[in-house]
Amino acid sequence: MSMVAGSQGPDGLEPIDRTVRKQVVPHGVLGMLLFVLTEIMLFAGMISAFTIAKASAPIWPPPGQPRLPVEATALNSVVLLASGVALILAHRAFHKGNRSAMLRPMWVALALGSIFVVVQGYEWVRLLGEGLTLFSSTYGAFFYLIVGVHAVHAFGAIGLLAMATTRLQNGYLTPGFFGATEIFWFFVVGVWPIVYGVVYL
Amino acid sequence: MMGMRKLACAVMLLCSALLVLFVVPSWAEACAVCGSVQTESTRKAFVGTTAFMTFLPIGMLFLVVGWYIRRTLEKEEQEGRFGDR
Repeated sequence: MSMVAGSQGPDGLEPIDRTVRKQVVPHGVLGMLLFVLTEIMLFAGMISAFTIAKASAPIWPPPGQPRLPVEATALNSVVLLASGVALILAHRAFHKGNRSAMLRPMWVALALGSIFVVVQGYEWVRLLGEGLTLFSSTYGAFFYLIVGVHAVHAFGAIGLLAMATTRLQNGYLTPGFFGATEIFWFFVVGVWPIVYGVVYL
Repeated sequence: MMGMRKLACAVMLLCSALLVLFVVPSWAEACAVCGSVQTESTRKAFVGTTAFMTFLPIGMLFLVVGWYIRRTLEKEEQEGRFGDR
């Protein structure tokens, strides 16, 4: 700080402190962090409602409803987690300043994330064909709501990841944009095991 | 004068609320789901999710604020070090 408290100029007013403050956290990172916190609360609310509905039901899952693909989704979860690992590798390369080394893990993360969404979509089509719809039961309603909201986030995160990869290729990926992308992707990856554990198991 | 009117309004509002509470208690139920708790598992789910929804935001807030303070201190320390040169 360059200013002394209480010092006054010739006009009797305190001089304006023109010290340039260095940014503690990039704006994009802080904004994304706050957004992710609100999204965590959104998922917490849905999971809480699901837990109460599940505990109140005499039999869960309700009889006559198709069973969820537990094994296939477990495998798909591994794919999503692997994309998180790929992004960690990209993060390390970024902080070492080795931008060329981070391109491959970024593409891998993008590809694995896309595979996850496509497989989820395929499972949804299969479940809809078997009669599990948003209106078939509370089970179906909660399933499509919670997993659907996660899928929307996954779509958004893939878009962001694609933008970050393009920027990296063109040589203008900033730490702020990459940090924000990382936070959102890690949120999508991190919340999935909880959703899987609560909804599928 | 205005203060007295405000106080009178507040007292009337309170009396109306109490009247509703005692005359038509079913209208005044604050908890829409408490009456539906019939089993032990549901009760446990309510307690668990209430605790979850209470402590999760508080925990997150502490984590984020703590992280921000740490970053600020690190930054200030760095700036101080460069300033000495």
